[in-house]
Amino acid sequence: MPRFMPFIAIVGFAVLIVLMNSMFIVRQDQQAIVLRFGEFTRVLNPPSRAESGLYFKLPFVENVIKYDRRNLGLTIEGEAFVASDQERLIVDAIVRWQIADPRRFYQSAISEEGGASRLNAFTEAAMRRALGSATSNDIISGRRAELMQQVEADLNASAATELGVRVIDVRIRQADLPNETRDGVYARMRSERQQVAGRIRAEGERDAAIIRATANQEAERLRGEGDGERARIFAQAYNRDPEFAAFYRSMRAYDTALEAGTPIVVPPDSDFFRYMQRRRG
Amino acid sequence: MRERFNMNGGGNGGGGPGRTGGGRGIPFPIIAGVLFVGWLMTGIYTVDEGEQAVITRFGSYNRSTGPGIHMNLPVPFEARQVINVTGQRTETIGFEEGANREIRDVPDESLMITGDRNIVQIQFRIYYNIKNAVAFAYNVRQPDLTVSQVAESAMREVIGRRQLEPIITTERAAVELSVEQLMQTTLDEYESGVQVLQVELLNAAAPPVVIDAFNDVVIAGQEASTLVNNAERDTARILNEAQAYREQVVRQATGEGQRFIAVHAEYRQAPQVTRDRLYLETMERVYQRGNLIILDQRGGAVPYLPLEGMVRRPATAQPEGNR
Repeated sequence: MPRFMPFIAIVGFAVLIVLMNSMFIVRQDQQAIVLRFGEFTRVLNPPSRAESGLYFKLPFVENVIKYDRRNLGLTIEGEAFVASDQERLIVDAIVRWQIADPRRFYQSAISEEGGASRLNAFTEAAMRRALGSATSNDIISGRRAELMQQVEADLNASAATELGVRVIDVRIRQADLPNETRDGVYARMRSERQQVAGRIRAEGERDAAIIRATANQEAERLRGEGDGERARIFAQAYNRDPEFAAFYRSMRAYDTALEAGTPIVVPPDSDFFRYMQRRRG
Repeated sequence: MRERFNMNGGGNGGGGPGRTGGGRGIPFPIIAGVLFVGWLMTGIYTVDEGEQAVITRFGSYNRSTGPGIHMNLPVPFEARQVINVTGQRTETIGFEEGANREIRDVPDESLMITGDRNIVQIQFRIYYNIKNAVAFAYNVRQPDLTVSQVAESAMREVIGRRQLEPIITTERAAVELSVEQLMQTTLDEYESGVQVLQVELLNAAAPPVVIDAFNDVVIAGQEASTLVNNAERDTARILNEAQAYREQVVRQATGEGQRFIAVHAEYRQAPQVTRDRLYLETMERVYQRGNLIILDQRGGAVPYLPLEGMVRRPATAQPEGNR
């Protein structure tokens, strides 16, 4: 018995290796293809079928290549595009994609990285087609969603069959002006604000002037009212006896008008001095 | 792989029994039994309130379990992933939050171009949780990063459709709502299992390099209001002054008129006497104050007089020289 122990151990170990080499798991978020001596035999758990789980294969003869089955993100960073109005735009985009046909994917790309880089090239080409025929305004605002749809459809027609992928969504993360243009935008924004500020200040000054002028107008009217009333009152009073009024008013005027020290030349025969040289007038 | 699989390391238990069998003290079956029970125990797990466990058997989705204590088959057979479902998750876009809650701007994310070709600084936060744990676990790679990317893209799209002025003033709530809707639509399309709870726009303002020009507009508004207010204040003063003038003038005239009427009434009683008296009294006052020069002109030619010499000292010296 003890003499057979090493032999049993070796056989057991060999059986274990064979067993481990003939079983494999395809997880919920994976898909796989099985190759026999490099030749495709079957595909397991592709997105179109739900068949994850434990599988068997011929040991050593067949080998398994697993791919991700999930929705994957591919970022296209800061690519410069020229819009139909010749304006340059820097566009970042995100492509959401999935390996839909692992067999085709294996044939054309082998690894996920390889597939992603090929998809990148396809996407750039599709974007160039879509964005090149749109104006920069369309890309920045107006038809952005529509352009993304267009790129998506384009990719699904070209890359999808070529690479065995499905493009779920294309999103322009950012469609922006290059830095040089950006400074121009800032300058324009600043000048626009300055213009607004200037207008507001001028309007304030204008409104203030109008308010003051209106006030002065009313003030003058009030003063005129006062002056008119005054004239009426005097006329009413003086009209009782115009001759006496003239005399009376003259007296008051002499009294108030002549300053102290004003030289006054008076002939001795004036009314005032009537009795100066004669006892009796 | 990238996910946090809660696989407990009990797998070694299966491989070893053949080798450890030679022990002297403890018999082999007991060791094997203890290891087996230990291996089984790795399948016991608890799920907290608000969490959900997703169990796969041979990598294939098998079941989900809610809060409580549960058991799954140990390692080679089943695996579990416990996911916080109702807990609020958050992503920030356009800024980074430091350790002391200080905010650092990330210009590459925060500066966005508006529909009227201006640039606006947008900083926002999104809150989300998981509405479908299975979808969240298996459908999208790097779901958190995906949520963040979708959020930024949606915000840029929404901002790109609107004008700068409303974005930074009145349309903030509308922007939040549009982004939320657009995000949810997109994430549902990805079957990501994510529920967007809220989009919170923390900052929507002119970019820092032009902010002074924007602030100046506000200042201009204040200045204009000040000017108008000052004018209003002056209006009150001007009108009151004019009213005062009118009342003053009218009252004075009325008074003077009445005075004349009173004097005239007396005058009518004795015209000559009153007239003379008024004349003399007035002249008395006038001459008293004035510098009186009496000059006889009957000689024909007017003689030249050195007036200066004859002039009395005015005003101040007057009372002395007069009395």
